[in-house]
Amino acid sequence: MGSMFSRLRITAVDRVSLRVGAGEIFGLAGESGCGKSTLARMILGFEEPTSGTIIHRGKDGQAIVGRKVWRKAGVQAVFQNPFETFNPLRQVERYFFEAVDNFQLADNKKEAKERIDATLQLVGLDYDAIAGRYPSEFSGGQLQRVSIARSLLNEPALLIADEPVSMVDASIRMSIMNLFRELVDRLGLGVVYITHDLATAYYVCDRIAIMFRGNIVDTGNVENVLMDPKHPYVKLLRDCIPDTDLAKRWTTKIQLSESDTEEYLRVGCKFAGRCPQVMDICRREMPLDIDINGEQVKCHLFQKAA
Amino acid sequence: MWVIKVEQLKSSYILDMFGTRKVVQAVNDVNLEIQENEVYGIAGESGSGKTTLVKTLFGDVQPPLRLISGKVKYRFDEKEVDLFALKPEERRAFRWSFISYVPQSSMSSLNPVVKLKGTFNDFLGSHVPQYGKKDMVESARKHLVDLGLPPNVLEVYPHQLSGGMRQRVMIALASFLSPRVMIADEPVTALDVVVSRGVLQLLIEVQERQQNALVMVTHDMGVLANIADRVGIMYAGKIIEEAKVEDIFERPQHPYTQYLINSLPKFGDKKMRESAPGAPPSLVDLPSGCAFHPRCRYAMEKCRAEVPVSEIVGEQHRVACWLVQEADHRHDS
Repeated sequence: MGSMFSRLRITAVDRVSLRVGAGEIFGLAGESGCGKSTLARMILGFEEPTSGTIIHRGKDGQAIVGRKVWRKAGVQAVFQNPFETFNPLRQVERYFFEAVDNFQLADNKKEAKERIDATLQLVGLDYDAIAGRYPSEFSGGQLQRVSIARSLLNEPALLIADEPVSMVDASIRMSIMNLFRELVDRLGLGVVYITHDLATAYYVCDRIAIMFRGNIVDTGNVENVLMDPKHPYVKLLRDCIPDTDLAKRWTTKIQLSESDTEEYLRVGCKFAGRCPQVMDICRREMPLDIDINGEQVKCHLFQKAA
Repeated sequence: MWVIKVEQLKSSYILDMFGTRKVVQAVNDVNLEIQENEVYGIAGESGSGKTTLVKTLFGDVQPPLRLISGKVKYRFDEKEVDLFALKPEERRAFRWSFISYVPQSSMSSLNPVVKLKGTFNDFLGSHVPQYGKKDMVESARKHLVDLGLPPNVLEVYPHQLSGGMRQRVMIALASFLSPRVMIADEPVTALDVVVSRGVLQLLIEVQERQQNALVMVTHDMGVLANIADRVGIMYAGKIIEEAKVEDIFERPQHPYTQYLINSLPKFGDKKMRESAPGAPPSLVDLPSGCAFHPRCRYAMEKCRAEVPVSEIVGEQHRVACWLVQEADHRHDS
């Protein structure tokens, strides 16, 4: 995937490979500008990759490639700010009826209503709670639940949730995270949870991929990736998250990065400019994925050992 | 010794919309003392009134925001000054020299069409009239070097800097006159984790060097756990609990604080977290009695009828909750 940006060609997502299974929550984490949203847009079929393929498995088990996958394979998205997801001047129920119409999920209005009610019950609401109401009449947390319900209408196989809780009040954030877990366990769908918040990612995800400047530098089980970080970048990230444990207050200082574009255009490992364990080879060659007990780490340090 | 004292402060946004008057009670009866040389954290959800509180502390009360009642006092040169008894010009003289402000979005506070050295001149020139333009730039450069920032940022426009660097320039600007109090309103919210750690690092370094009070507004409990000495928790315009940081995290008393602390995800602990039911109330139409009672699992008759008063429950620890107070009294007798 390439894009034009002030006459520079930036590879926003570079040689990324990953697999998301049914019934799992897959975290996609990284700082802003690391390419996680671009990757999500490609999975949703909004954007076509310059090279490489994205394969969805449809409900009948057939492989589906290309655009409009949201219709054919049932991929749905939940966005960051529910107040931007819905038009403030439209009643939210109209989105539901429209979706039922578009996917031909019901023959008449009564059936449609039943379908909508059943879907809303999955997220702890019901039809009466949304009937005739406008987005501004909901709280942020409620509206995000409504948005999740809307995406569940056509029984998707995969849900892409892009920062679904960062705009939700802190005191009810965890209830939305718990809802995702419940939905995955109950409906067996796959969820790609995109976030920069590693603490909630650790809480809810099964597997996680950490992105840095367009590359996935570390993929694996959350326990392995986050509790025993191997890649120096993941170590840095883990170190910079303010822990709520008072015994773990910061004592050391960190170095801040050079400009984004410079890091994107690096030839070798993109992290070489800041890495405390940098070697000669890191500046020349892009590291390959190294398998460490089922975890994929993109770092020359481990190549040497292996 | 306190540097800022707030007494029964009430300030509201008064809106006239198509003939109907709406009163948003953003700060509702707050008492607060900020001590010298401490990091005081104010935590709360969006819409709990934390930004309005620090705006009022800063003396920036402009319609539709209005001061309803109460006092804000500064201690300046051993004298106590009542902020809102001053004329606007006198109040302005305190800004940047006694109290300074680091806002959330530095992009909208730095003038985009002026190089940063011009901004330094605009902001601070009038406070040090003895400095000429040249001296000003010279001392600004010296200040930046002291803080470990590259001095050539003075020669560029704000858009040429990254978000983290802009925020660090704002901190340099705010600390230039060594104010006794620095207010930072969500200074790292828009930044990435690594960058935000760098910015927090600088804030703390400045605080330690200048030995002033830092008031930090944030909704990120992790940030507070890392840098605050004392924490005040706001809910619906009130400070419902205030304590030393270790008491807030290890012995929270108010049911809301307990929810807040217990719902924080922790590394290495995948235990199910529960969050408070319901949603925060609207500040236009507050519930009767304790504003948290509709969401509180311990709510009693008294909670619905009467607004709880703040009571001391330990060293530097106060809570506004009927439940805690009753338990305390039972304990005493």
